[in-house]
Amino acid sequence: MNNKEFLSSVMRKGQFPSRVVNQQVAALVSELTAALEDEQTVSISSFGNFEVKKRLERVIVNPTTGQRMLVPPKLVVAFKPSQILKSKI
Amino acid sequence: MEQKISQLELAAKMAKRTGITKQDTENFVRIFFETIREGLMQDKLVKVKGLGTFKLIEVSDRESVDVNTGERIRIEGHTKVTFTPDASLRDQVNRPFSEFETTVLADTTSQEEMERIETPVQKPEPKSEPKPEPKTEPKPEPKPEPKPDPKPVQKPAQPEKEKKAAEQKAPVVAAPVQQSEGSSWLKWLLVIVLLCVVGGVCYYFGTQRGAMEVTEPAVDDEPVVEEEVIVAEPTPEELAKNYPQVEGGDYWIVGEVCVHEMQVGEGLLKIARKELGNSDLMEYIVVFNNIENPDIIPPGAQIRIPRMVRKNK
Repeated sequence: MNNKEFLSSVMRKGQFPSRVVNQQVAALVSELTAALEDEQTVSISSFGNFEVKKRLERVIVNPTTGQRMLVPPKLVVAFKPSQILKSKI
Repeated sequence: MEQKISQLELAAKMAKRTGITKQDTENFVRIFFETIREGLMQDKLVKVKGLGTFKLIEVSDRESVDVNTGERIRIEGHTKVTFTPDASLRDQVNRPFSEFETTVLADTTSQEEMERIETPVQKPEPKSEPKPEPKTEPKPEPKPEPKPDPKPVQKPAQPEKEKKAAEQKAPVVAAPVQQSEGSSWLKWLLVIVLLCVVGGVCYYFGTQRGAMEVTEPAVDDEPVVEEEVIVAEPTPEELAKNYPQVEGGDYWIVGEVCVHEMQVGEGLLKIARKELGNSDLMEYIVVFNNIENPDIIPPGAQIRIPRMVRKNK
């Protein structure tokens, strides 16, 4: 299901006009991003938690060349599905 | 800053941004995520622009061990939800660390470890090859010297001096022969000794030449390039005329760095990656060594590594 299909099914389900859906989705995404940027966990009941995790820097070795590379530390978004979502799926 | 934001707080923030009532927004958020769940169950994949991709992945049964009891247990297959953030979300979140990039570790730091990881034989060889060989060559020379007393001086010499030595010896040999009619055994002995010396010298240089033929490129070419650089500082283009070039390539071949001996299991690609830092530059090695079939190169073959200068365009 791609973005288009997803938006249209949101529209159908909530009986929203498409303008509102677009506006709301944009707002949701930017607020969610902003919250995650502050390293806050966003928990959506009956769906799951979005959280930011730190990944430490590490050294990897390219197996074919034997070249060693340093991967920098980074922050990644992790999604942890809630028990309700797990059981429904 | 580690704190939790609930669905309601998120909706409140959104409402502030859009100006739509809180209630409607909360409703929307609920429906938004519910739709994702339904989409997952329907298609096993939901893409939301700006957010990311949710995916269902089947996990098959597997065996494991209960950490506490040590019993073997069976973990039933199940489906799990994965989330891959969109590039925009990922970069936004990673912004504090965005200036870092994956870097190849420098040789100086990696060498100790590399030697531990790889076979220790491979790494030192290409580097040590050009230098130690000229040094080791003079060493065998002193060995034959102590035996023949008369001419130890001329021996540590290149082919030119060898000729001189031969010339010098020839008259010496001839002279005793003329005088030898009434002379003592001593002179005959001297002649024989000299002959032995000459024979030994010839044999010695014969073997040395054989050895030099192999290493000659490494010994001869390098000083030539350096001298030219010191004398006239020729442009890379002028230097490049002395060597075969890769047509349309980004680099001039202006000399030779060292000679690499092919190991079992090595290919030109690997050498190019190791010596030139990029396997795309293999073509330069092929051209420089005039290799007809780059796929078949016997182990032990001497591969010359070109010195390259980037073309100015």
